[in-house]
Formats: sequence, structure tokens, C-alpha cells
Amino acid sequence: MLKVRDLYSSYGAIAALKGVSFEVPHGSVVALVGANGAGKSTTLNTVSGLLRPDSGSIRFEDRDIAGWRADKVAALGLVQVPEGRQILGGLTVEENLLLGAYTRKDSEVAKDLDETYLRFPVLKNRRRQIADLLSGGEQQMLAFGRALMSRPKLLMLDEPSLGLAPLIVQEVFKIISELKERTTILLVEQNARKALEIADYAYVLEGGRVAQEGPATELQNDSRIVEAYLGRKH
Amino acid sequence: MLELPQQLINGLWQGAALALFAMGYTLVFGVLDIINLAQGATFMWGAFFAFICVTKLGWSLWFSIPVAMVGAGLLSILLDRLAFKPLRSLTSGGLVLWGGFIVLLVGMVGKWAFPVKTGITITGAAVMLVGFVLDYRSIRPLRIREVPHLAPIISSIGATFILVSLAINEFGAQVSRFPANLFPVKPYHITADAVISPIQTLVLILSLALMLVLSLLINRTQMGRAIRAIAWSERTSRLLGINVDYVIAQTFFISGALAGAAGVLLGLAFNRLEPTMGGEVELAGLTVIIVGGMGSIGGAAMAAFLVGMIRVLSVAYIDSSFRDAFVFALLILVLLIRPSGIFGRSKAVRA
Repeated sequence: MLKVRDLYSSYGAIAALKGVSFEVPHGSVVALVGANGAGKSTTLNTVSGLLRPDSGSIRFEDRDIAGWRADKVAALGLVQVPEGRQILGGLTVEENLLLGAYTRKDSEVAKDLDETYLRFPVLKNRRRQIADLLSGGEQQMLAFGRALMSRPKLLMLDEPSLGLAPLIVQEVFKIISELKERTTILLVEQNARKALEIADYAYVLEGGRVAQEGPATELQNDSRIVEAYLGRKH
Repeated sequence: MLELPQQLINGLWQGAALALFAMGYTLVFGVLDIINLAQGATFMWGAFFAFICVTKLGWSLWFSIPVAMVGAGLLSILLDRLAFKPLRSLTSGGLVLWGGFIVLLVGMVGKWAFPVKTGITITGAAVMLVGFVLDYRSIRPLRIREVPHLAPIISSIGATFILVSLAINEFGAQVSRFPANLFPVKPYHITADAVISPIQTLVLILSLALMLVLSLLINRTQMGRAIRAIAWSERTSRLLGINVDYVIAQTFFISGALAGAAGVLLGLAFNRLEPTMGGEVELAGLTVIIVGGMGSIGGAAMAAFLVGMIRVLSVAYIDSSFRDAFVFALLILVLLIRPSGIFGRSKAVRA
């Protein structure tokens, strides 16, 4: 569904991606794991069009979308939930959700809004509130809800557990495993252990390159990965 | 010296027209964080668009006002595409647009024999149209960059020069006037001494109606939500699939149409149209949006009435040459005491 080949990307003179290649098959959950600064978020931002690649190809379904504007990429159904939630704090919860459906032309937006409220009751209670007043966990729910309102084909989650309390992290991963049933997911996580539990296949990024890849269950048992990213089991 | 009720009425209708101008001004600031100093030139062209419709084309005033608003709105979009958009994201279509614009200027201003002049002008306009469409449809821009704040201010000053020069070229530097019999002059009595003329009533009612429409548009429609989303975070808006340039064009259209409406209305009320008429309202408008809180539409509306009153009252009771001094005194006072504006809330209301 998504095929990235030899992606190079940089911030000014600093090369951030040095030939990243990976694939996300339809219906799967693929994780990108790695240390801080390995290029995980840069990869997502380049795929979603926030950054322009220096070279390489990004094929989504049957189009090469490398260098496309971010809104055109999102309109194809390749939707990013950005790091740090990035909700529109000055707008109400409901307005955030309605803007999630911005690219849709069909008439079922109201129905999906009701469904979103069923799935995340906390959002329903606070629908008229300014989104900035939500807690971190609630903002993450809003970010998920907003992304689902677009009926995405492929959801790219950037560090969904970052900065959340451990209990909320549990909740977030529970939601991601539910989302698996509905859409294809590309997950970027620093919490590699959690990511590998949920993913089908994973790529380990190191210094802007893919250092290792394999089925998530294999990587979970790979001693080098365990040493480097997962820490010893207690 | 005139009675106070009369002055309050004058302050009210002038404030209402100023509010139209300032709301468009602050809308663009809220979305793009730029001060579009060419808003005054758009205001002036709005007045002249209506003037052309009424005097050259012989259309009725009721039809000319909306046409002038649409004209000013389109002018405002063009202004964005020429003066601001290339600073944000440059496309090959944008370059074609600029090329066409230069040809158009050469055709309009140059001293050419009749068929040549028309030919050059039409060619320029056609090239501009092609460039505009290419620019709009482009999905892989040549360059995207963060704009330093100074660049758009300078390019909007440049745009003002071009628009004022074009108006002088078309209409001359002298004052133009609408036909005298366009509107009944018999005033309505509010009290025994205080009157409001029909044209002033029109200014007041139309301004209030447009303010209401704008408020509904911004708060109740998906377009308004998208405008506010971009004002909050352009990056997040893009990830939601919002075509930022399209929404910015809509914003400029609304802003320009409001400025154009203010231009027609004040042009009618004072029956005085001149190419430099935008300068004064530009400064008053700048004060209004700072006093109202930059980017706050409701704040701009309230502050416009305040500034309108101050201007009218200082003319009536002090000295007409001091009216701008009092407006600027208010500006400085607000900047000293409450830099975020009297009516404005700060943009970041955090929990």
C-alpha cells in the first residue's frame, strides 16, 4: 500500500534520512522504532509532505507522492497524527472533529461524529469546550478521533504515547489495537517494547538508515534489539 | 458647535464603516500573521469600482455595491498571489503570473497606439490567468519557506504604490464624485436636532449586516473553521487536508470585499473619491486592530466604534486637524497599558 524507496531528507545542511526504504502492506501494522534522532519522525513528516525529500520515491497505492503538498497527501487518505497531538487548541472539541472530516464530500459526517462520541465518551462531554482545556490523554483521544473522522486508508501515528502517564499509555495502545481492525497503521514509537507487541513488522532506524528489519515477534526476541532498545526484562 | 447626540450618530455610522475595513484587516493578520498595508488601496479601488459601475456603465447603485465588493475581493486575491504567496511558496505558475502582470502594466500605462495597447493588455491578462491557474493547481512547489515578517510589509507597501498609481492613471489625481442625485438627501430626524441622512443610514445598516454575515461565516461554517484552524496552526491544518492556499485566498477575498464595501460606503457618504483616500483609513484601521487585539474580529468591531467616536468628537469639540493625534494617543496608551489590546484575548489561552 505504501512503498518508500531510498528516501533522503535533510534539515538545511544536516542530512536526516540517508536512504530509508520500507513497506507498509494493506491491513498491517508496521512500526518504526529507534532512538531519539534516528529519523523516525523525519520519515513520517517526509511521507506526509510536511518535509520535502531530497531524493527517493514514496509510492502510495499507485501514485508517487514524493514532494507533494501535505494537504494533497492527506486528501488521498494517508493521514498523520502528529507528535504532541497538535490539536487546534483555540477551537472547540467538536470543531476539531468536524475539521477532521474536511476532505470528505459524503453525507455521513454527522453519523461518524456520533460514532466518535460513542467510542470516546469523554469527548462528547466536552464537545463545546475549547480543546486546549483537555488533559494530555484527552487530547490524544481527540487526535485519534479527529484522524478517524477523515476515514483514513493509512494512519501514521507519531509517538502517540509521548509525555502521557503510564495508565494513559495503556489506554492509548488499547485504542491502537482496536484501530488495527479498521485501517492500516504506520506507527512511530520510542517505546519499542509496546510498539513491537502491537506491530506485525518493524524497522529499526539508526542514524537515518534502516539498521534492521523483520517480523515484530522476531525482533522482540533478538538479543541485540533487546539490549539496545528494550532494556532487560525484569 | 454641534450637539452631542448628532456627534454620537456620526461616530456610529463612521465607526461601522471603519469596522468593516478593520475586520478584514485583522482577519488576514490572524491567518497569516502579516499586516497587509495594501488594504487601504483595496478600499480605494472598491470605491472606484462602484464609481465605474455607476458612471461609466450606468448600473444602479444597488447592483454596483455588490459588484464593487466582488471586484475588491478578487483584487485582494490577486494581491496575495503577487505580493505575498511567492514569499510563502513559489511555483512556476507564480512566475508566469508575475510575467503576465508586468506585460499588463506595460500595456495599461504605456503610451501605445490604440490596437497595440489593447493587444498588450489582453495578452498580459491572458498570461496572468494561465499563471494563476497553474499556480493554483501546482502540487509540487519550487520552494517553500518561512517568511520573515518584514518581507510582506515591504511588498504590500510596493503593491500600494502600484495600485494608487494605476488609479491616478485611470481617474486622475483630482477628486471624483458620484452623480449628485444618486440618493435622496432629506435627513431623518432622530431627535429635534439630531439627524441622519439616508446614505448614512445605509452605511450603518449595511455595515451591521455585513458584520453579522462575517460572524456567522467565521463561527458556523466549515470554511470559517478552516480559516481559524490555519490561524491556530498552519502545519496541523495541512495534515487535516486543508488546502492552505485556497483558504488563504478565501480569506483575502473576504478581507478585500469588506474593504471594498467600506470604500464604496464612505465614498458615497462623503461623496469624495480620490486615489489617495486609502491612506487615512489605513492608519485608523491599524489603530483599530491593535486596540481591538491583533487577530480578534469582535475586538476590531468594538474598537472601530471607539476610534470612530474619538475622531468625530475631536473634530466637533477640539480641532479637526487633531483628530489623528487623538487616535494615535489612544494607540500609544493601549500599547503602554495593554499591548494585547483592550478587547482582545491573547491567542494562547492555555489551561
